[in-house]
Amino acid sequence: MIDDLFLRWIVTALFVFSALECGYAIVTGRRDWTHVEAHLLHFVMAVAMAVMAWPRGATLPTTGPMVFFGLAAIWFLAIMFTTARHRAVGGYHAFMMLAMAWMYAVMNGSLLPGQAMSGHHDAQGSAVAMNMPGMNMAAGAGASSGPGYPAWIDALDWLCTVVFAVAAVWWLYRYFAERQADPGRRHIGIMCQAMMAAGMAVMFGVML
Amino acid sequence: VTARVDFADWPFMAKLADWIVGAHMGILFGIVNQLLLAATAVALIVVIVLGYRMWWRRRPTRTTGLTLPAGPRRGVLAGLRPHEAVLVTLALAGFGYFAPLFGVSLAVFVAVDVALGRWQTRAARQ
Repeated sequence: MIDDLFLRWIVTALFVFSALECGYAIVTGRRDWTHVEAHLLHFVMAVAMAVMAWPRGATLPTTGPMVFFGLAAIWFLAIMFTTARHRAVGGYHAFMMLAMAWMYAVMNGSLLPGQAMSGHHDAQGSAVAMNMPGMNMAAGAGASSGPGYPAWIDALDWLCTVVFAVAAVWWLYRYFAERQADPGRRHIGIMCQAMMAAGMAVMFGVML
Repeated sequence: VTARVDFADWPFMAKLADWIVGAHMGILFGIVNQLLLAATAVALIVVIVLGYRMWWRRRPTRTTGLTLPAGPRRGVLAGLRPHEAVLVTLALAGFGYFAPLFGVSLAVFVAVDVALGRWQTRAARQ
């Protein structure tokens, strides 16, 4: 969860808008099942992230969603290797789903090797681990992702933060470039990807 | 006293927030920062006054009576080169986060402007 209320609302707005766009694309877009499946997974992801930003969301179980998004990553990888077009984008979507699974694993507090939070699983562990740094000093003193967490977890959180921050800028650039190239179309889907990447960067950023 | 947390033990984001607040309030770097902040404040006032002057001078002058200037045309941001548009968006988003009242009012303004643009485009097509 994010303790900074303004940042929490910003992240919620980013993911709610993204979820609405994905829902709209499912209803009005192409009818082939890969298109629907991809947007459905992004819809679930956006809703999950919006929920995760709030205190109640940090108390929910983490193992089920972690498995779900792990499978979603495999699905996107399979699509990437079986289609000739947009492989880089497919790889990015797979990475994003994998990052979701990773975030749930970190929130769980006991699944990853080296996490010294045995006995503080799911609800309590996640509440401590995901507190916004700077707002709850006692919980985060001496470690970034949580008390007793090894450096490799922090390193992966940093990696995800940087990757999604760069991705947000790239999607935003692509949105403006495509809009200039084809002003007749709306390109909301690309803006939605920029918003989701920005939201992911913030969510990983507050874990540092 | 039951616990002590030194600055070195703070998480990175907490340190960053503290540095930004210190820089913003003129605590960090002493008189140099205070002079820089004062110059920034004067520059901002000048830019605001010049902006209103430009807006006023752009008004139609051939009509009789008081005529207010027109607003800028819609889609100016999208008309920039993509990397410029990205830089403007990032700067506004960053500033909007650190100045929430500005950020929220800008977000509402953009949402209303986009909705009006869509509505006008749709009306023009019909």
